[in-house]
Amino acid sequence: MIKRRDLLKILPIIFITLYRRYNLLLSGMGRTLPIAELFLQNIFSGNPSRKETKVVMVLFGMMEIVVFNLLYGSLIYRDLYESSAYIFVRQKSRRRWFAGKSLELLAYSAVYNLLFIGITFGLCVWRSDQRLDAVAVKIVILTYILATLFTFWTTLLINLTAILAGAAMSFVINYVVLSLLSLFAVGFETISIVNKFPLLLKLNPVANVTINWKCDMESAALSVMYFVVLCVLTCMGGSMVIAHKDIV
Amino acid sequence: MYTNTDLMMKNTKGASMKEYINAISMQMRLMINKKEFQITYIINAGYVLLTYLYYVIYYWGDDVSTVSSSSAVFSLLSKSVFFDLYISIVPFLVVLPFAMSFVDDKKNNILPGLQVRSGVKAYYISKAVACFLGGFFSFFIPMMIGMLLNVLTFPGSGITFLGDYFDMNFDAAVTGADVLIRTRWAGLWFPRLFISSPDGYNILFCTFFSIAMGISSTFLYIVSFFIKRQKLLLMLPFFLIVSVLNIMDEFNMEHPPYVCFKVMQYITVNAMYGKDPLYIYFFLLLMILVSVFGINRQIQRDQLD
Repeated sequence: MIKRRDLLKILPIIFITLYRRYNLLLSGMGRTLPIAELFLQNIFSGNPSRKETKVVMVLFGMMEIVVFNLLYGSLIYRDLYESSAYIFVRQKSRRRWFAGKSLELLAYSAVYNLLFIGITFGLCVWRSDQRLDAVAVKIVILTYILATLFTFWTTLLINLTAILAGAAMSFVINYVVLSLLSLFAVGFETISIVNKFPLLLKLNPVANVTINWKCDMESAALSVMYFVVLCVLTCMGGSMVIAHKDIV
Repeated sequence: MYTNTDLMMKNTKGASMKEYINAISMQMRLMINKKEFQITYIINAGYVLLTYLYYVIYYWGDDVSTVSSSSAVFSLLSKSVFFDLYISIVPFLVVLPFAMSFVDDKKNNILPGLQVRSGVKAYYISKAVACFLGGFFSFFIPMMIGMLLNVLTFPGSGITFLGDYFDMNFDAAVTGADVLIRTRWAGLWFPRLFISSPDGYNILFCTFFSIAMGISSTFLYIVSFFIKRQKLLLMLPFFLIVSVLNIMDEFNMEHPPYVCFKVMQYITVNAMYGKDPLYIYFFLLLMILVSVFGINRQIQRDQLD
């Protein structure tokens, strides 16, 4: 069930996005750029080259996703920890309960990223002198889907890991893993253990979500399929964990 | 055996120094046994060890005259190989040692019991002291161990993080003469210490860094008075503060004279320009004042009349 308190937690993204896009609000830079290019410069790390960017820039570009992880990282875990006996007496099927909570989390992620991507795109349309074209619309739709799925997937993982390690520890573990994935993506060619296996780069979630690093729409569409499969597998794994969890 | 009247009298009269010390040592024991403190310590120690091993392998077999000195491979150096990765998780690590303990005590319903045993004032003050010490030592000890390993392994060559002592650009880097952006603060802080003892310079910044982490941990403990239920939200404030200041720094770069707003640059070893001492003093002082007022306010609220 969607609670007002959980819904209101989405609102900070409006202020964070407007603050981070101060360059679009205040200065006249980028007026001559196509909207799609201006949007890609302002989303995530904005750096088009995976090989020339730094890990800290990649992580800084994911600030909005990290904020969502913190706001909703204990959405499912909290209910399980505080009132699982009450919930599972009323709802006999734990898998169905978990599926419902996962869909709720996905809904929050969708609204949150709609605000985040929508505000950024709106500012780009406002600032650019160029006309809105089909390329820009395709890019923003793909970015929105990728961001929503990635945000949902990381937050779901935090909720599931929290069952084993507690909410705070699970966030730190997930953030450290995210940082390492960013390091492997950025330094793929230089890290000798990793660069022997090109599949590791293709399967790296950070490399898949950063649309700036894609060279065409087809690879972005493949990334969407990748995240759909990842989310489904995580939900299936999560429902198995919940089904066998002892009730507190 | 205390009677109810004795306990109420104790609460209103206040705790003695011995009772404060007992309360602090109890909180310290609690903190050391918590897995959050242990994980913070392990992550810091792991980072230091990883950096040390990386540089040992990197310089393995090289001529000793080309190997960097121990000060140039220090883990708190901005140019250090894994520093970017580490500094991005520090805003979350600083929360872990003991800042969530108040929320834990409330959730486990042991808060009234602890307050009655030690007194309300002693409870809050001892927790703040434990937060500071936990934040300080969980960063200081691993960094110092790393420094010791570096001093034992790497040569005392003249190769610092700014280059060789005889490098033609060394003087300009120390004094800030090579800075082209308009700013009033260029060059290293404590240049004489850096030139006479680069390792001593690193120890000084290690101490600054650990003190800042201790103060931040105490500040977040105060924030936990307002975030009563969801511990995870406690990770947000410091991360947002650091991110907001980083964004302000980008804006400031385009509007000289430049002042560095990135807090982490002030407390780590680097040659960054634009570091105004007043800025970092004000930042830390603000956190200390907020902590003091927050604790006072909470004590007033919980004090028995």
